[in-house]
Amino acid sequence: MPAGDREEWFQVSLVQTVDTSHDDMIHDAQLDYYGTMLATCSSDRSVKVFDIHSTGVQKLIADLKGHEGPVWQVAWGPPMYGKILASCSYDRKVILWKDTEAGWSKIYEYSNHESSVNSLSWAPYNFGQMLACASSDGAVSIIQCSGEDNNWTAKKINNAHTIGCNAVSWAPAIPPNSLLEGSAPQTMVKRIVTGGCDNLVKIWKYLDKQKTNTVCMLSEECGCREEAEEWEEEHRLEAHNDWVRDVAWCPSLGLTHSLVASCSEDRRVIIWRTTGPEGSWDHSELPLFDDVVWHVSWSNAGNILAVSGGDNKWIQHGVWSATGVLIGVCVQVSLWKESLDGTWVCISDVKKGSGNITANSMERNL
Amino acid sequence: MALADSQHLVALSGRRCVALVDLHSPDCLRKKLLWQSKWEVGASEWSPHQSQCLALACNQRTEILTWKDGDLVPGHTLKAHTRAISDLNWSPFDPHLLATASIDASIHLWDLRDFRKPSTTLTAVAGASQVKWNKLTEHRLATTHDGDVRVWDTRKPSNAMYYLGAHLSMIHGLDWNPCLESHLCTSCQDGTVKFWDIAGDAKQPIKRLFTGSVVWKARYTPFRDGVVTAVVPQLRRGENSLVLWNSANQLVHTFVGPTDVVLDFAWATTENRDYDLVTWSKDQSLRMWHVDTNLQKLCRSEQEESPVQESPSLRSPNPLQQEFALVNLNIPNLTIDELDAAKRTCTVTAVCGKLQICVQMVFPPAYPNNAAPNFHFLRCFPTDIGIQQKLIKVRSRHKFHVLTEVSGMQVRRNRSCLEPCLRQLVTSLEQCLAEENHHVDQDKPSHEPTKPKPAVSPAYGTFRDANIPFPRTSGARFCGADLLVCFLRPPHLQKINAPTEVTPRQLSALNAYLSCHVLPPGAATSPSSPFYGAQSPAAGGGDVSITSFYQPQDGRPDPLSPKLVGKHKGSAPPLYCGSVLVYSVTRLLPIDFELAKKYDLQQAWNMAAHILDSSVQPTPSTDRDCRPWALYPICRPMIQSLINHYLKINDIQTVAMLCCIYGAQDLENQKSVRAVPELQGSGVSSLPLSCLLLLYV
Repeated sequence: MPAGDREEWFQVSLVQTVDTSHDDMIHDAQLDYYGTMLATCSSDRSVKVFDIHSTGVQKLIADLKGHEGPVWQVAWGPPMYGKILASCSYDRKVILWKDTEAGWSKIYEYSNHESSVNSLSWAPYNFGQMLACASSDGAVSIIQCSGEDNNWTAKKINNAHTIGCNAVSWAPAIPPNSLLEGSAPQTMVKRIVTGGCDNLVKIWKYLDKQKTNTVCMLSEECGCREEAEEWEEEHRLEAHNDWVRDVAWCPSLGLTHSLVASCSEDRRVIIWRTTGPEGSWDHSELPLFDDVVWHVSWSNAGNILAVSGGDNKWIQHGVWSATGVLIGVCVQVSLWKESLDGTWVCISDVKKGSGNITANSMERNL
Repeated sequence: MALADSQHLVALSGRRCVALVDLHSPDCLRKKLLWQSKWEVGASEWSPHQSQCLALACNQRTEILTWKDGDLVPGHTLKAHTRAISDLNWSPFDPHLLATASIDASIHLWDLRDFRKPSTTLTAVAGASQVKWNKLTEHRLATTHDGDVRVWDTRKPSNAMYYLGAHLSMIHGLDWNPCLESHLCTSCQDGTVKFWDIAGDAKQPIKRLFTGSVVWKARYTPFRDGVVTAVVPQLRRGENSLVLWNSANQLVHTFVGPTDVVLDFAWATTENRDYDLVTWSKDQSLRMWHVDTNLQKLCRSEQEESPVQESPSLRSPNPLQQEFALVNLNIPNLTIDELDAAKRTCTVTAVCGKLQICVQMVFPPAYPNNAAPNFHFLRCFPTDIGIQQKLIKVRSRHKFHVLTEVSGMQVRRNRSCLEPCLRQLVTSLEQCLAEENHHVDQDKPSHEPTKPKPAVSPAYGTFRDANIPFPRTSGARFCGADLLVCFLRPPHLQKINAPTEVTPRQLSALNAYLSCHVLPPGAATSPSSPFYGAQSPAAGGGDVSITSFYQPQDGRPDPLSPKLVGKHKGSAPPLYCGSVLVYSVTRLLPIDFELAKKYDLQQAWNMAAHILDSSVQPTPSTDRDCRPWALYPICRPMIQSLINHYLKINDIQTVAMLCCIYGAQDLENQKSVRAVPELQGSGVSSLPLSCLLLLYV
C-alpha cells in the first residue's frame, strides 16, 4: 500500500504503515506495551507478529498457525510475564502464544467454548496472568495461570448473555478515588464488563469468598466445568437497542469515577459512569453514528476514546477522493474527549477532512 | 449469456462487443470481439455439437460466429425475419439445425449449410417469444406465444401438434424436461411455474409452483427432479431471486448473492458429477455456484415413486413445513413428540436428570414474519411432584421468558426460530436444575451434588452463525503510551455501500455481503449458505459451518459458494488484506515528551529516576520504616533541592508528583511527612498530598 511520507491526520501523525501480507481480511491489530511489536490476526487463520521500530524497519517475527477458523482478536499480556499473546477465533479456541528461547510457540489452548470466541481481555497485571474471553455460546471464561509452571485453570460464567457474548473488558485494578482517599492497594476488586446479543452491558464482580472449592480439585476432568459462582452480576446496564459489539473500561487512574464505553449495532456509543465502587451507573451518549459501531478503545492516558465501526460511506462524502489512500478512506475512526462541562466532543473527526479541531460542533446536550 | 459446456466458455454479448470468459480462469477475459451494432443481442447460444458456433440474435438478423484457434470469427448472417428475434435454439440432434423465433409470428428453421433462406418456416398468429427443441425426441419443438404454448413436429410445419392455453399472462420461460420427453414447464408473468405433460391431458398442468413474483426463467436441473427459478422480485432487489425446488415443490436452496435480477443461467458440468450453476445478472456480474451431490440429492423428494399422486396437489411452499423438514433434531436431552405442519404445532419433551418437561409450540399463521410462536407448558414428570420439583417447575416457567426472547429475536428478522428455541429450552432446564441443586447443596451439605453435565452440543453451525457478530473489517485501537493502531479493510472491499445499506450484523450475512462488495475476481469467496449447512455438515471440517473461511481450500471444493467471476472491469493484482497503520497521538495527550524536553523536566526526572535505581537496594539492616534511598547521604538533600527548585518557580504540579512518588506508599502509616523532606517555606506544605493532586492533575 502506498503511504504518504508523513500524512498528517489532525493532531495525529502517521508513524508507520505495515503491510501484513495476510491472505484475507484483518480483524485486529495490536501493539505490545512498548510499542515495538505488532500482532495482527486475520481470516486466513493466522496470527502474525512483527517487529516494528521507529526507524521504520519492519520484520515479520512469527507467523503463528494453530487456529482452524478466522481469528477475531489478539491481546498482549502484561509485559512482566514475558511476551505472551492471546488470540481467539471462530474455531471456538483461545490460544496463548509465548516468545521463548526457541521462538514463538503455543503454550496453552483453551477449547471449552461451544461457539466462536469473539473477544479477549487481559486482567491488570496486579491480578497475575488472567484472561477473560467472551463467546457466542453466551459464556465468559476467566482463564488464570496459577503457579509458575504454566498451569492454567478456567472458570466459566455460563449464560452471561443470552444468545451470545460479544465483548469483555477488565476494570482497572485500582478502583476510582482510591488514590485520593489513600486507601490501601489491597482493596483491589476484580471486575469485568461484558456486552452481548441481549443488548445488555453487564458489570461482573469477583466475590472473594476464600472458600476452598473442592469440587474442582476432586475431579480433574471438570477443571473448567465448574461454574464461576464467585463471579456475580453486579449491574445490568440497559440502554442499547441492538447487539452490543464492544465494551471498554477506561484504564485511567486517579479519576473520581469509573468510565465504561459501549458500542452497538444500534449505531450508538454510550459512556457509562459511576462515582462510587458500588454506586449506580448513569449514562451519556455520543451523537448517533452513520453505521454500526464495532469497536471502542480508550487511550491509556488522557481518557480519549477511539470509536471505529462499519461506517464506509466515505465515498458518498467524496472528501477523500483526491487524497488517495488515506486513513479516511475506509476506517471510520473518531476520537472523543470529555469536555469540562461533561459533554463529549469529537476532537478529530475524519469526516471533516481539513484537520481543524471540530470541538463543539458536534456537541449535544445529554 | 451463452455457455459452451464442453469448452467451459461463456459468451457475454452486448451492443458493443462479445466477450468470452473461460470458467476455469474466470479472472481474465479470454477474448473480446468488438462489434458495433445498433441493437442489443436478444438471445445467444453455442451450438451443443461443435461448440464452435455461436448464434446471436440481433434485432431481425441472426449472426453465426465461429470460435476457431482462440479467435472468434464472424461468419454468416441469417436474414429472414421481419421483426426482432426473441429467441433461438440449436437442435440437440442435427448439428446444422437452428430454430429462431420472432415477434413477427414466424419460427424459422435454418440449415446452416444454406444460410440464404430458412429451410422450414412455422407460422403462428401471435408473435413467438420462446423456442425450445425437445431434448429427447427429434423434430419436436415448442414455442410460446403470449400465454400459449405450441408444440410442433417440424416434419409437419403446417400445423402445430398441440396447443396449450397455458397462462393468461405473458410466458417468459420455457423448458423441456431433460429426462421425460413429454414434460415441459412454463414460467409466467403471473408468478407461477406450470408443469405440463403433453402426452396426457394437456388441458391441465400436472403441477403448479407459486413463487409470488414474476418468474423470468424456470428450468429443469440437469440432475433429476430439480427446478431452478429466477424471479423478478417486486422490489427489484436481487436477494432470494434464484431458487432451487424439488419435485414436490419444496424449496431446497436459495442462491444468495445477485444484487439484481438474474437474466440468464446455465449449467456447467464439472468432474465427479457435480454441476456449476453459472448466472448472469443485471448487476453485470457473472457468478458461479457449485452444486454438489448432496444438494442434488435434496431435490429428490420421498414421494418420487408416485409423482402422479403427488404432483397435482396445489401446494405452495410452506415455510413452516420446510423448517420442520430441515431442522436439525439432534439436540441432546430432547425428543420431538410431534411435528405437525398442518396443525402448526410442535411438541417436544426435554429430559434433564429425572425431570421431564413437555412443551408445545404453536406457530401463528404469519410465522416467521414477525410473529413468534407461543409456548405452552404441558406437563412435568414425574407427576408426584415433590417440593423440590415444584420449585423447579416454577423456575422453569420463569425461564420461559428467555424462550420468548430468543424466538422474538429471530422472528423480528423473519427468521425461523424452532431450532434455537429448542436448544434454549434444554439449556434453561439444565440451568434450573443446576440452580436447584445448588440450593439443595447449601441446605444439606451432605447431599451428593448431582450437577448435570452441561449440554455440549455436537452440532455446530447454522443458527449459531446467526448469533456470531459480523467480523470487524477495520478498526482502531490505542496501544502503549501514545500510539493508535488502525487496520484497514482490504482494497477489494473498498467500493462500498449504497447509501441506504447498513453493514450487516451477523456472521451468517457475510456470504451475501462479500458477494456484493468484493470487486476483483479471485478474492471473492464466502462461507456456504447456512440454510444448506443445516442438512449436511460440510465436508472435511465435519462440524464447522463456514468450512472454507472465505478462501477456497486446496483440493477441497467450496460448496455452494458463489464465486464472482468477472465484472468486466480491470482486475487488479489481488491484495487480500488491508494495511495496518500506526499513528502517534502524542499531541492529543496531556503528557508531552517534547515539551518536557524544552523545560528542564526531563533532566530532573532522569535524575529522580536514579534515586530509585535498583542499585539502591534495601539492605537487611535497613530500618523498615525508612525508604532505602533515604539512607544514602546524597538522596535526601537532592530531592529536597529538587522540590525547593520547583517550589521557587511555582511548578506545584511537579512538586506534587515528586511527593507522590517518594512518599505516596507511606501515606497510610501517616509517616509521609517524615519520609518526604518538608516543604519548607511554602503555604502548600500543610495541604494533604491528595489535595495537591486534585488541584493540579
